Amino acid sequence: MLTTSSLTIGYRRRPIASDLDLELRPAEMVCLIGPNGAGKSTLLRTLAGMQEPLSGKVRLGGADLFSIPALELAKQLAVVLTGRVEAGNLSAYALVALGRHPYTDWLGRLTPRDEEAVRRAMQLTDCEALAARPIHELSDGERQKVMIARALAQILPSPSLGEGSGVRDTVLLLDEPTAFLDLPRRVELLQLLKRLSRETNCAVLLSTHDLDLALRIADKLWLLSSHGELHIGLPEELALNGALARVFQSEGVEFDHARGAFKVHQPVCGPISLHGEKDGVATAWTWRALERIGYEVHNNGVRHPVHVDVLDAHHWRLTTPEGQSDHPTIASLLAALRQ
Amino acid sequence: MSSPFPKLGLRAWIVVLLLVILAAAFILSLTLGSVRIPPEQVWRILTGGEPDKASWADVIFKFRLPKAITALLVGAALSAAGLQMQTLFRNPLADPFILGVSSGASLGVALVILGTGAGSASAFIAGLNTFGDLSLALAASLGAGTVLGAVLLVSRRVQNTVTLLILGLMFGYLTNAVVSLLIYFSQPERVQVFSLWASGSFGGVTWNQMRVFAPVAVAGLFIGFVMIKPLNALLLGDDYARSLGLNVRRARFWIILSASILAGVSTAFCGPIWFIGVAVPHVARTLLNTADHRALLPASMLMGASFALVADVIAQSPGSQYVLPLNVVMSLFGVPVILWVILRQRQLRFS
Amino acid sequence: MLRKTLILIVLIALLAACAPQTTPEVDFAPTEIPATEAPVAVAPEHNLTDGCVAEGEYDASIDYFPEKATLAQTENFSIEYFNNYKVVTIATPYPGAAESVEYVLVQCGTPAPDGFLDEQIIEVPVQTIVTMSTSYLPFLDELGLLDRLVGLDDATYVSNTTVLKMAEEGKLTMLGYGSGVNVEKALELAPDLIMTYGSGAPDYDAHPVLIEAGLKVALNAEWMDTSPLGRAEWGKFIAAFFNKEADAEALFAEKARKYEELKALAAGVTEKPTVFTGSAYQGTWNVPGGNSFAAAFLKDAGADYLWADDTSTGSLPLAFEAVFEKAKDADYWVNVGFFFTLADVLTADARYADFAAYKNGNVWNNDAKTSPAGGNDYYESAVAHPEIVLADLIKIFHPDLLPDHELVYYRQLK
Repeated sequence: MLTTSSLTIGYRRRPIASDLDLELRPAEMVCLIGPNGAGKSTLLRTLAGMQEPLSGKVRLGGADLFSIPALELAKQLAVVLTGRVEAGNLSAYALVALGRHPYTDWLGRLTPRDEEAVRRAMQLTDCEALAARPIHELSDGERQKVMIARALAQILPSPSLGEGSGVRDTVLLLDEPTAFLDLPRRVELLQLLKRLSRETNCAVLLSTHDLDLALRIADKLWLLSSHGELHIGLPEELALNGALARVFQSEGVEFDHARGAFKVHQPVCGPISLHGEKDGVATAWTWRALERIGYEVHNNGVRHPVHVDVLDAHHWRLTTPEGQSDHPTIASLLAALRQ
Repeated sequence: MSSPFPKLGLRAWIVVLLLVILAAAFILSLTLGSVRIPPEQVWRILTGGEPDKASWADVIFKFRLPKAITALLVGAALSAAGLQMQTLFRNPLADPFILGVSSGASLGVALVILGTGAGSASAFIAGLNTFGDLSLALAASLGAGTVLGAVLLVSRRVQNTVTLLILGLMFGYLTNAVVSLLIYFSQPERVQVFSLWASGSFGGVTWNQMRVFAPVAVAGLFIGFVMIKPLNALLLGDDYARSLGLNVRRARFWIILSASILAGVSTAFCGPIWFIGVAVPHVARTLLNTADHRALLPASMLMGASFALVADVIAQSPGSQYVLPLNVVMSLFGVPVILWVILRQRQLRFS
Repeated sequence: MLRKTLILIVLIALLAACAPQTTPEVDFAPTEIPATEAPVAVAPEHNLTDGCVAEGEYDASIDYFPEKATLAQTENFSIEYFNNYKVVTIATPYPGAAESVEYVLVQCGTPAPDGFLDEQIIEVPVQTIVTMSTSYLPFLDELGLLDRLVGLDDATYVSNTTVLKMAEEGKLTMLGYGSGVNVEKALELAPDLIMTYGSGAPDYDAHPVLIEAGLKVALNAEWMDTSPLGRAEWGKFIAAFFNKEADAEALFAEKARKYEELKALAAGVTEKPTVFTGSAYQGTWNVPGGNSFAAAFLKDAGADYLWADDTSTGSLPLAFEAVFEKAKDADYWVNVGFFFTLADVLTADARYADFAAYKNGNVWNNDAKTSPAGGNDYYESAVAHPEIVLADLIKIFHPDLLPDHELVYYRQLK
């Protein structure tokens, strides 16, 4: 378990956050979110032992992180950093094998135990098929999987060969691992990380800008504001207690508690009421369309002068003070509203 | 286990092939030279027999053998040094002299040959005789060592490897400027002697000098071997290397030390020899298609040794009496080879 | 003998010069004709070594150079005499020169001819001179012209004691050498002439910058001459700038006579010892070619130079092993380079010990006359005295032929 006490991070001239008491538990996936420049990378680097804290302590399994010998630390804590890695001619297998650096002899030769760890890491990250391919030929998503496999190989024990009595506290820290990926890959990667944290009992902390996915997948959120406040809690808690709204509000973006998403549109056209099958797909999408053109949508039974009924997937009825009209598509409905 | 996982390291058959090529190049270097000795005579001499002409045995044992060994060691040394510099600085154009080592050596030699004015001739003579045939090498080593020391001192303070590279380049430029200054104010005859040194040669190392040269070169190569694992860790960059548990500062220190010893000792005894350090690691990378130093380092050494031997054979222009400058041969014959190797792969893959 | 006859003829011609001369090939009109009186000029008996023709006394029909130089040994320069000027032509002024260079030495007090560049025109006799090579000093010395020396490139390697004393007393200005020559000092000194040489790489030479500054520069190519006597004959080149041809001719004639005598002496030898020169550097041994300056001396001294069959005039860059194979059993090893003792030779490279010449101690170097500062007189006064060098060499190769001669420039390495 990775803990901090009274941790102050940042640079000598510019402390970023102070007095942090954090806890990162095994089998837990935590997402570190916050606006740009809040200091997420700095926090990650400090927790990874790559940057000295200004004050306070970081502990891994009770021991002071910065006093653990580098090789020992490497066996428990691995990182995946942001950015594309240039390792040219290395095969995926060779790159993952680099993760065994803390275990191998002076020449870096792999023992059967090391080989097994590498294979298991690649299995867990679902990239076995890529083993023989050179890194530069892989897509961004595949490459990220390999980088995670490398980090895993670094911290994985090998229970099948006897090691594993006295399970180590292992930590995986990732700095914006989804930065270069498209949406499906991002979903896949976050699901993978969650699964990994469960299956290997590893504590996973990753920073991301993907607020939507983080809210849905993370076991816990660490929300770092630009003023150095760190809010910790379940995603739902942070939504309900307004922390999310407050932190992002100060950036000029509104958070919609109910929807769990950011408000994109300004209601300029006034209120409109909507009635349709509850939880119906058509209803939900009609809501979005009306919001998009600038209406403030109400769906609580109160009827407004301008009202839309969703009768079924192909039938909309619009009621205005001027009269009533039927529309077979959303497009014609919106067109009518615009007049 | 299952075969989709590639084998790491250098495969045995490749090692054997490279050794065979090296042996062939070595024998070629002993057989061909300015003095025409029939191959069976060479064989007879090497196996302890009596050649038709007594002077031939001397030619083989006193001239060609030390020259071949020198070429072998220098080829291996410069290739290993070049590989290390390319990985450390993540720069495909890095050569063994990128930290100004050869400039430092040139400065040492320039001070001895070009002197500083009054009495420099006697200083030159006296200097030559104090350490005998090691004196010029000593001057070069002192010069190289000074630059190296400065670079290492700075490397302890500097976190960023790129900064270190720039500093090394600056040291190089500074020493080059001083050498140019010495040339500008020197008599043309002296400048000619200096440029003879600067054109590089494997033939100047006697058995006596070998007693110093060989152990130092081998030591440098050995340190290079020990650095294989750190070099691999550095493939992903300083940050990842650190997270793997590598002491990056210490690794950098030893890598620079190894490369500088190799580059320094080669320059000190043979003059600056260009091209091998940059080109051979790329050939190895392209032919072996890997960035793993467990394969690249020994392969580069073996290939470099063979390359140096062949270049030397060409420089000796067998059949004619004349000797071509080594660096000219390196470039003239080396560049087409490199181009051919790289273009075959159509792309230069580099880590 | 031939020399003596020629000089006799010249002297007779001079005596016969009391009668007015016929005009030379090049026609020119005198630029000045004094209006008041008819010219009363008298043809001089000797060249004017000290002064100029007085104002108003110039006569275009007079030959102002009754004492002329004739050249037989050197092929690289020639002097053509006209009434009041001489054209000195150097065929190859420096290695790789595309064209010859001409200097027009005009008797001071007389008009310069048309058709030449300003930088080619030099007034003679020169009163002040700067030399950029120590090899010009012995000629100035024997012509009694050292008092006209005002500057050098550098005094470090000078052997001539008079010049050294002058330098010590501060009478000489040092200008530096090569492209780093101090042009400002030169302009301040304003010598009548600066004599230097071209190395073949104009970027490293002094003369381009000096000429550009407007100074009078004469290139001396004696160092390129491959014949020992030819090189010594360049004394006449220097003499021409001072109108001292008569002295130069006499001096050279004597040296040439002695040289030919010695050469004939050595030619009669039946057994010629084998010899090689130089030493290796970085595995390359620069061996003088068969038609080089060094080879000429060895041949004339009655030695069998191992590379005599080669035809080049420069050096051959050979592999150490090639020289070893050919010279392993040679009798003599001369001109070894920067070695003081036999031990030095060995420390430079242990392989020299396998040469027979080394084993027998027949190793000779041409640095016997070296100044404390390191100036080797072989490169200075020996240029003017090839006959002494030849005597030294003959003494080394055939000691019985010259029992009374003591070595001047050569010594045996111990």
